[in-house]
Amino acid sequence: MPLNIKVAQESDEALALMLTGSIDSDTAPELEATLADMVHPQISYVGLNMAGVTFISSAGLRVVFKVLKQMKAREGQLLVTEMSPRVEKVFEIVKMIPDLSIFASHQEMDDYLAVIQQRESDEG
Amino acid sequence: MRLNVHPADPVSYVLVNMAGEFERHNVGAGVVHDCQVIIDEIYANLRAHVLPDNPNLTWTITLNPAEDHLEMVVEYPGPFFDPTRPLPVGYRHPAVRPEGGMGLYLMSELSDDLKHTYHRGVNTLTIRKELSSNYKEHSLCR
Repeated sequence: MPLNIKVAQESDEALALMLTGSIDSDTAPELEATLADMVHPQISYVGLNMAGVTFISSAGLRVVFKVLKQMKAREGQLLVTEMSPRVEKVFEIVKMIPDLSIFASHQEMDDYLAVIQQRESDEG
Repeated sequence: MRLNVHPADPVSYVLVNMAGEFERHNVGAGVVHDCQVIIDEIYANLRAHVLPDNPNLTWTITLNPAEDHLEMVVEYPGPFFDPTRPLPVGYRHPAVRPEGGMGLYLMSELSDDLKHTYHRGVNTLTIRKELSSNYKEHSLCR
């Protein structure tokens, strides 16, 4: 069960990733490295589409929590969409759900990120 | 089913084999996921705390599906090492808790019984997961 990470959207202030597969103790470091590489200091919105995530353990939760902490420190947000009930259950057990901005669909998250990008270009 | 796990085996090797066995016994996907999380946490613990001193360690996992429960037995030889201790006295959010403990908390929350024994140089972890109607389920509304 490998982890596939695709960039769904990228701008100066926002990054959205499409995750597919398993975020386990073997693959979580890949996600951590990708985020470390792509989350530049100016990024304050990170979106994770988890529609294709079939498994997550504490190794994956730690990576998600790390980026959540980063975004909070930047007064930004971590956006999550399309978690399966079994993945959501794991987040719920460790009480992380209230800290996440959970979108019902990828489209909804895209629309929100588009607003952020529009704001960037208006300000830039 | 009994599976021997060698140090170079990826987690996915264990998780996929477990899923196959449980699916043969018509265990629901949610329960399979819970069991896989428990085993990933145990494997991560063994890698962090046992394998550095015993890099050739082969451990075993035995899956015993029954009608009303699942039992998973993990055995690893070597010095006493109990990954179920210390059980947290109540979970704290990652923002306020010290490093570590999240995996242990998940293991204890996702299992109905988790027991470690040590006998003649072999650590044995026995995990029980109920399948009956009162099986411990976390409600997203709780």
